[in-house]
Order: sequence, then C-alpha cells, then structure tokens
Amino acid sequence: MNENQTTKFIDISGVEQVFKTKNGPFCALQDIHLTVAKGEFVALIGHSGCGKSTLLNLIAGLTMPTQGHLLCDNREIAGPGPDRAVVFQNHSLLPWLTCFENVYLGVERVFGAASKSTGTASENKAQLTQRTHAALALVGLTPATQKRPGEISGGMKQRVGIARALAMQPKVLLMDEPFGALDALTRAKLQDELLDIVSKTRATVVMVTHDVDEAVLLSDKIVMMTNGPSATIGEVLSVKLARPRNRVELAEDRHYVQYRKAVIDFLYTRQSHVEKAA
Amino acid sequence: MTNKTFIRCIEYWVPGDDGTVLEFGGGLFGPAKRFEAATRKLCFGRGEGLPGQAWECGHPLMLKTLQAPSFRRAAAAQADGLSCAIALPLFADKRLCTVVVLFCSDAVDLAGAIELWHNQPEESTDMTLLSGYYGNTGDTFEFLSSHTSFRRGTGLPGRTWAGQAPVFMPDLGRGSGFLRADSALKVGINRGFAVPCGSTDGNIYVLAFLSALATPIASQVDVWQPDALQSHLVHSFSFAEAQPTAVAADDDKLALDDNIIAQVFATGVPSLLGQSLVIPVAMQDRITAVLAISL
Repeated sequence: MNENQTTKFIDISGVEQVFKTKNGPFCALQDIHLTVAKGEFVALIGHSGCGKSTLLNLIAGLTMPTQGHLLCDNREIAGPGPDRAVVFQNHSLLPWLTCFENVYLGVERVFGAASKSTGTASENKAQLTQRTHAALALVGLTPATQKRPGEISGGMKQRVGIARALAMQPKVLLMDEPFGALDALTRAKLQDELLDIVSKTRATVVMVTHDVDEAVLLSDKIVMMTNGPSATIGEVLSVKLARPRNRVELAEDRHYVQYRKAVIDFLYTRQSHVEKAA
Repeated sequence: MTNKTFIRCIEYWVPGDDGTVLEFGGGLFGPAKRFEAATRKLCFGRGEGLPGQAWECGHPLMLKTLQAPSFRRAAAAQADGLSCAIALPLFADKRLCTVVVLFCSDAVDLAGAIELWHNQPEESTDMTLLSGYYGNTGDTFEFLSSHTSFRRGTGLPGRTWAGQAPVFMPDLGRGSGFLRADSALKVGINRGFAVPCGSTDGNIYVLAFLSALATPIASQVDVWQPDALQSHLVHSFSFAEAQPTAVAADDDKLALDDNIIAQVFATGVPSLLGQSLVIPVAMQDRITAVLAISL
C-alpha cells in the first residue's frame, strides 16, 4: 500500500446529504471533506442533529450521498459491506440466538462462501467456529458463549456487538455511540477494553460520541461538527497522547486536560446556540 | 506612538530597478533607532537575509529568534528589544511588489502571539499551524494551536481564508468563532486579527495576530477593501487601542486613483501616510485589501 493509500484509507470528498421530507428538502450535511488514515481512531463529535450519524451511515454505505464521493481503501463505497462493520448503540442482537450464534451468523455470511472478488475459498465449519470463538475471546466473553441476550448484562451485549463486528475482520470499524446506553462504570470499562482491542487489531475506527472524555481518551483525531442543518466539519483536533493510554494516569495529564477543554469549549461555548434555540 | 504595541517595527522592501536586489522602502521604527539605522544601510539579494529568503521561497517566513546567525541586524535587534520577525512577500500578477517585515518583542510585560497558518489545497482541506511565536503566553495556548486545524470558513484563520480579506475578532473569549477561547482568556489574549498572505507556491497562508488589552497589536489598524464594482475602496473597519471593538464602516469611499491608499492598492507598494504605514494585502496573486497600521 503506498503512502497516499495509507493516509487516505477513508477518503470523503465534497459530500452533501439532502433528505426529501414532506416539508421539502432538508440538508443534513454539506461540504464534507475528511480523510482517515489506516489504523487511525477518529471521533466525530457535535450536538444532536449535526449529522454525525448521517456521516457514519454514509461511510457504512447504508445511505448514498446526494453529492460527492466516499472511498474506502481506494474503492468507492457503493453500499454496505463486511469491510465496514457497524456497532450501534442498540446492540441489535437476535434474542433467540446465543452469543455464539449471533456472532457466527455474520462470520458464516462473510467467510462461509467463496469470494470471487477476493479470491478466497469458503471456510469449513471448524474454521468458522474458531473465528467466532476468537472474536468472543477478544472481548472477554468466552464464559458467556452459550448464553442468550436476555441472560447477560447491557455491557456484555454491547461486547457481543463488538465481537460480531470484529469477527468479520473489517477494514473499518464504525461505532455509533456504542456505549451511550450503558452506565458510567460499565462504559469506562468497555472504553478501556476497546482501547486494548484496537491496540491488538490495529483497527481503523470512526466513532460517533457525545462524550468529550471518551473522544479524548480513545481517539487520534477529534472531528468537531458544526450545528445542523447543513452541518459541516468545523475544526479538527489532533490528539497526540502516547499509547497505550491509561485513564487514571491521563486524569492529571495537562495535555489531556487541554484537549478536553478545547472540545468542551467548542461544544458548549461556540456551538451552544442550538441549546438556546431549543 | 504607544510604547506597548505587540508589533514594534514594520519595514518594507521593494525590488530595485533591475530586479536583482531588494532595497529599503521605508518603515515605522518608533524608539528602535539603532535598528532603524542598521536597516537603512542594507539591501538584500534574492535568497539573502529574511526579506530575500521570503522572496526566494515565495511565501511568508517567520524567524522566531533574531539572534540567529543568518540575521544581519542581530546586535541592533537585541539592543532595541526585538525578538521575532515575520516577512510577507507580496505578489501581484506574478511579480514581486514588496516584502513587508514585521518585528515583535518578547518583553516581560507584552502578551500576544503571532501565528502563521497554511493550507496545501492538493493535500488537505485543513488549515494547520505552520509556525507560531507565543511570547509570554505560555505553552498551553501554543500546544492547542499546534494540534488544531481549521476548515475554510471556521475560526479566525478559516474565516480569513474564506473571505480572502482581513478579519478582526474583538472579544475572543466570548466570541463564538474562536476555538481556543478558554486558553486565550487565561493568558489575557482577547483580540485577534488575521490577514491573508500572498504566495507563489499555490498554498494558502494566513497570518494571525492575537493580542491582549494591555498589549494591543498596533495602536490603530484601518482596513480598506474594494467595493463590489471594484470602482472604489471602502473603509471596511478599523480598530484602535482605545476602542473595545472594531468600528463599523463609516462608508468612507475612495476612488481608485486619487490618494495614497488607492495607490498602494493599485501598485502593491507600501507607503508611509503620516504616522501610519499603508501596506497591501494579497491572496492568490491579487491584491484584496489595504491596511493602514499605526504603532
């Protein structure tokens, strides 16, 4: 992979997203330009309605842009695919399947059939099973393999969602407020585990979050979006904190505090008028 | 002239008749008499000295210490308390019109910062910090600046880039356009003024001055821009040490041919006007505004 492909692993150029509504066209996003390097962890942050999830859905291929284009690993994003796995806030697990079966479902779809485009042969059941177990082990859920979603905690369900995404060995992991529905302690624990997973897998991650600390703790780059409608990217903050990151040590790190203040200032001072308008 | 402005001296250099050297055109030096005397004797070839290097590079250059071996007037600068300089070459119609050099001081009681931002259109849509001089503002502000990038139209550099004209932000701590407001307030910085800069390398440059109430950028700055019909220069805004905000346009209009302001706009060559130095502002090979600065 040449240097340009590495630094522009995800390449978003001139993207605009306009939705047709009964009240007329609604411009959610305009003039979006963003590149994500391979292995980079990018956080999208902004107030509600600023188009963060819309942008994530565009990268996932779940919706097509009105204008502009998106490339992933130098290929146009023309629809959803296993190379861009998504983890939603709502874990969306199938309640009648065990944790193992929930993950296996995706693994079988991706690796269980031969692929002409990648030239890979289909894998047998033993191989698929091994992949599934490995993914569950990565998120620390081996003991809960045979449990159903109704028998595990919220944090564990979200871990299954992450395992399901990672099991497909995606090029990009897309996370839409993955820990938003969890209590603070569980959230912190999963953030730490995600840091560990990303360190091991060297995944490229784009994550939507409202949590300032989460953005600074996890990411290499924080993309701050202006308020909608017609939201765009305002400023981009490079977070150059050494890895591995430890939240306890960082709590007193002056650079961490400075980054945090900059993001808070952006959200609650400079983009605060959305609150007043509401 | 106040003794406490962040910008301490301004000089300008113009190409000689044969175009091989830069000759001294004039400047405002205030109490920096030794520096002025050393300056008047000099000329610079292309690539020589700070003005010559800016000419050669074709874009703004910042020298964060004037005690560098390459700076000929180091002794005089030190004697007169000058510590940092930024050279702005100005091009119009692909020819060099002038190199303007601004000098600042890092005296203990002076608080301010100068930042040079740039965007490389073929590489990125972000404007990032190329160089910065932060005087006594401490490292927090510098740290955030070096880690922040701006899109066209946002932030002080981004707005200057989008408008291709000077931008003034009178109250950075409370404004909605300044990302680093919290850090700025802590070090007493409350005003920002940015100008677009010319270059020949296809990149976009913006020079931003950030100053505190106790240390204004200059004693007065007036900005003139052409009207929509390009038939007159309109007095866009001015800000002065004694005024809390920029003064809105007083609808002064100047024809493009009958005064020094218009002459500077037309020729790209600065000129002294009383206690002010009138300098052109250019972006992408054309002059977009004129500044009149008093120290």
